[in-house]
Amino acid sequence: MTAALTLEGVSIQFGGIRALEDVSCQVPAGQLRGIIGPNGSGKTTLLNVISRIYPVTSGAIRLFGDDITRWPNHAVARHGVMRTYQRVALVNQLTVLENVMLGLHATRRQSLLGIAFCTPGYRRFERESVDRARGTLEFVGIEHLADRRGDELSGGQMRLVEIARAVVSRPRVLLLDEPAAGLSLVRIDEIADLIRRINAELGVTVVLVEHVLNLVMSLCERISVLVSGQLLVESGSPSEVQEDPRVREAYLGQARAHGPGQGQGEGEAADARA
Amino acid sequence: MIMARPERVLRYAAVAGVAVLAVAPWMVSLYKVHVLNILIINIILATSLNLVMGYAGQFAKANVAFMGLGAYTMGLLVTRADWSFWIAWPAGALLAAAVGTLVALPALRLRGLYLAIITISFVLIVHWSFLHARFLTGGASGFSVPHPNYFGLPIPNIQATYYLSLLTLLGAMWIVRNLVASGFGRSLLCLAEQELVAPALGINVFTTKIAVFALSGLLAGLAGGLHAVTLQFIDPQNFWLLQLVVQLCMVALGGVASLLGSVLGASIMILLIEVLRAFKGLWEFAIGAILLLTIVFFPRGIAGLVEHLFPSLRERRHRP
Amino acid sequence: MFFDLLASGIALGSIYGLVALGMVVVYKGARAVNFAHGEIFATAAFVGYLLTANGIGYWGALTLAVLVTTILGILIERGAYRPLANASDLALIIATIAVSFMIKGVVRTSYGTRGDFVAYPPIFSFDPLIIQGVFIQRQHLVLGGVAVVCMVLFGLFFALTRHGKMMQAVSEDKEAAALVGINVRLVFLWIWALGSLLGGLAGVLMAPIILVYPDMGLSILVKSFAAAVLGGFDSLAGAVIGGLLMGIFEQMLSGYAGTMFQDIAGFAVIILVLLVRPSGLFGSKEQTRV
Repeated sequence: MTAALTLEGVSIQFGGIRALEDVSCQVPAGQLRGIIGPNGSGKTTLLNVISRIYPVTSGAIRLFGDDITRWPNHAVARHGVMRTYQRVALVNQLTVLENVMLGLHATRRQSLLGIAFCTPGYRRFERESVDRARGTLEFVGIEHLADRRGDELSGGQMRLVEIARAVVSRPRVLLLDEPAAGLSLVRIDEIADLIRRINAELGVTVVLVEHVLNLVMSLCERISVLVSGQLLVESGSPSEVQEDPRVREAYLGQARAHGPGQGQGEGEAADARA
Repeated sequence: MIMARPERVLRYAAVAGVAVLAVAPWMVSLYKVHVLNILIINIILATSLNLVMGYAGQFAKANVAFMGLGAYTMGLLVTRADWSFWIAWPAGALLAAAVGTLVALPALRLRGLYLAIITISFVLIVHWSFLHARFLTGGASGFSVPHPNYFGLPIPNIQATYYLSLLTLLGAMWIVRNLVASGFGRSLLCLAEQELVAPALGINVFTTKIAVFALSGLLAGLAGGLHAVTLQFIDPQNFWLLQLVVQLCMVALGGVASLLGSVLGASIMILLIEVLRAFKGLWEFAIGAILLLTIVFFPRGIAGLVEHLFPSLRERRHRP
Repeated sequence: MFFDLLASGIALGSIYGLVALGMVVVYKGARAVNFAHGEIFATAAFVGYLLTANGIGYWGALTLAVLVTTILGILIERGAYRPLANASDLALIIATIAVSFMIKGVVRTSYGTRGDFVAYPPIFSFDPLIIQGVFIQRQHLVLGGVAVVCMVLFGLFFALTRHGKMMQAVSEDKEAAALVGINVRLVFLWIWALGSLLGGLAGVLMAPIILVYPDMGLSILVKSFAAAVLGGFDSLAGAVIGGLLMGIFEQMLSGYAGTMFQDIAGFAVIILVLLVRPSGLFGSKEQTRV
């Protein structure tokens, strides 16, 4: 099996602080990988490094064998890495449909002259884009929201739109940064189902950073555990991770009351909401 | 009673507006033709500024300088180098567009206040150059520009220039409308609201900013050339901070990131300027007061108010 | 000539510093760039002129004119800043530009038939002092001196008094200041009043050395902008030092290269500083996050 994503000794430093230290791991194509870890352990930083928002201090990142370590960040997106954010980042002046269409930038684009003079080729392209965006909205189950504006949605709806925007271009790798944060339990189930379908039906490799451990344990085949910028577990099955005493220790060290076991999900969700 | 659908009303209003503008030169006095011409040029200018400031959300205010560069280049090429207006005009606009790409470079690094300050300084330096390069520009007293050669078109020059402006406006509005309702327009709005997210969606921030500044420069340059042949005169006073603030008012009053807003804003401002022209200080006070009241009570301008009342009139950012 | 230019540069520069200080106080304290600051300066100069022309002595006129601009600052806070507390930076910038136009309109109307340029009556005789071979205008000396004294007093006020400390607290962290019971809105009012007071003070100090005219606000705005940008927009000391450097640079440029370059000195400084080091000499860097 080819690796979709390979990190080789990735380190990143802000000022004097090492946010990630010598992180190496592989995510095989088609896998649904979870990344967990206590607050401030560098999970979001890891996603930012993969989508090239932060330049790495040392190490290499490969995407299906291509070394993307020094690529400009828009090129990484065009190469098939899309993501969502912890704080939802929709464009409020656009409708839901148009927000999803933004995600198509990563695929084919049109020349400005073609757009300016509204050539038939461009018209066809825009029509296809609308169709693809509508199709994705249906896939996510929010086609009825198509004409609402970004700022007229509930928090849960915003998350779904952001996911639609990230998958409309059929990326090869999808990075999800706490998609369940701030959602009710029913909504979390919906999101879990959606992520599973994105992985299975669209064949997208998913990297899921999440605080709601329940979700990660039930959803992911393999889980990585990040503690203080280092990988404690590179890749383990949910049961291995749950039984690993080091993982328990790391979580206990941070907040005594919360363990990484089943049934603690609600407490974690409450944390994320706060 | 059957209520007409607002979007249809708007479309009819636009067609009617264009029709009125098309027959106006034969219905009203020459002075009013002149004022209407200035209005048309200012709609182009407001659109140009709105592209950068409203759609792309960049606090760049160099528009007046682009306009001046377009006007001076055209005027100097025509009067000093004996170029035809029909070559000199686009040449001036292209130069303005080229300078626009240069101004886009600091916009890649600087944000908000700092971008505003550096671009305002740029405007002042360009104005200063017009004022002090006397051997070329005639300094503060300026120089006169002839009518373009209309190749024996059987209508008077003033009307001919008016129709040239009108055609330019319609062409510019068509192109800008196409652009803002496309992936390009959507990426501009993304830059304005979520600049850090844009690259992660595959948007090349560098080329997008360059493109929007160049386009804005091109439009302002074209408008500058038209302005010069409309007044038949070029002097530095027309490319000064006052014009900058007037254009800012047009965009803020009409509505940011809205073509309808540019049209409404420019129309209201030009009307006001005409009405208040006789009162020296009052003129400035009124502009200031209107601007302040708009910002406080209608932050998204008149177009924002219209869209709030009739959601179906929201500007589309895609082709249905 | 060098020392003559240096002396007048320092004198003018200390007044620029005072104007820039007013601007930076408002930016640092209330996160607003006051594009109407130049008009406050111009208003003070004109009011001062009116009062002196009506037989009130220089220092009396100064006090009254500064009082007027302080009230003006309070009005701006109430009318243009407070209603926009939650608005974008762009809205605030446009609002202060709008205010500057309103003030300019009123001032221009008040000039009436007086003509566009009026000369402020000099406070002292015109013959310059000669110290060690360096020509110094008496007015430059006194006015520059007053500017320096005001800056020192202001620094002491900021560092030592309770009100000064409250303003500091608000400018560092609005929410935290509110939590410890500081009336943040009231402090904003003081900040605007104080910023305008400084601008007005500089206006009356500067008036006797230059002509007074309705559009004088713009050129001083550019200069104080340049001074503030040079010093770093959020540094009080930076504004003062930036003002001094700006005054010296401008005088040297006009002395050695020609007076027409005096106008452009400010813009050149702004563009250079922003391209090379946007945070200025003493400012703190902006940080962005996802």
